[in-house]
Amino acid sequence: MARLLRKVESSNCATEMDGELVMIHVDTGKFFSLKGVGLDIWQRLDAQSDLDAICDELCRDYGISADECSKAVDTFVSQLTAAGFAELA
Amino acid sequence: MSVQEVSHDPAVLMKREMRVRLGIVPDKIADAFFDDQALAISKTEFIFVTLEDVRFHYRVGQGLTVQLPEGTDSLTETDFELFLWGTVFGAIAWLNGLVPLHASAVEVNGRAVAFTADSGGGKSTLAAGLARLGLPHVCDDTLVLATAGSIMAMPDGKPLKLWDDALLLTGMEAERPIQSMPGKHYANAALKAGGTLPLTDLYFLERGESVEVEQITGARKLAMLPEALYRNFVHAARGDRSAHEQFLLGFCSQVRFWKLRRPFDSRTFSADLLKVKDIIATP
Repeated sequence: MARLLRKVESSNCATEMDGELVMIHVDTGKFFSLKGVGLDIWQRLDAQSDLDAICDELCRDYGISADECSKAVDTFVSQLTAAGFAELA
Repeated sequence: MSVQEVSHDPAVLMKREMRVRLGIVPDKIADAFFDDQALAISKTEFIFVTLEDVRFHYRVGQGLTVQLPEGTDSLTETDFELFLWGTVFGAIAWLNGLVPLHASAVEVNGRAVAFTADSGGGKSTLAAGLARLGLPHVCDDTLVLATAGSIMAMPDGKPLKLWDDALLLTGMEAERPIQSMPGKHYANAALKAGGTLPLTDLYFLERGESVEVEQITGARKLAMLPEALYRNFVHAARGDRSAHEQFLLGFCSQVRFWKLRRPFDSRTFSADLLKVKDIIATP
């Protein structure tokens, strides 16, 4: 079964700042900074929400193993959902 | 409530709202979101009482009413002016949709460069020294910003407040002593900035062994900005977190942040000042 991750668009205001995407959660006031691969994943979520498909793309584009990629994506997704910026469907 | 848009010249607005008349100040205001012994503030008015019991009342669009302590005949016998250009000035800016920074600033090639630090951190002395080197002085201690769109800094007519040693270091002449602060004087810069200027750089001052600068980028700016906001609780407590967050993000994306370390050493002050002038002249 596909793992789907959706941005919670209403949760934050965000802006690009010195090469980072900085987001503030509108309810908690906590902020979150995305850059590098994290920012890449966040931007890919605009095109699709299937995490396995995103993992396949990352393995191809970054030349990393599926196992390594899956662990990194899982960690990132946990941080993102815990902060309230995205939710697993 | 959203941040009030300021459609007119902020300098004109502040000059109008800072007008003072003597009168009776009420004991309390309605709907205060903050209320302690010295300050009660709502979204449209505040009462502020100084250490020497000078009482200020301000309401948006109506200017300031000031009540002197019993037995006092003149504003100049009190700490009126000290607080007029501090807490009162800052609170009026906040309530009119402007943002005050705890900063002194100078003009460099048509832009404003600001220095922020805790009290005693050297921002007034640094800006005064740079003014003596020919950079127009923008403001002392509180810098008012208009933030609708670009971040624009507003030069104001406040006098500088400098300790005796800072007067000596910067070569400025004391105009008159500050009541209730022995050893500190009002002074005026010979060269002052004219109209509003884009704020491009904010320097957080620190003590160091030598003059060094370090750029702050990305989310670190967001963590540091609140310490530069003057009486930050006013904006944060007005109940519109979203507008506050939009302001924080907009400010951080438009203004460069730096840590500026320098010695607090009178023997090297002049040489250090030249180094700082070179640093801030970088476009």
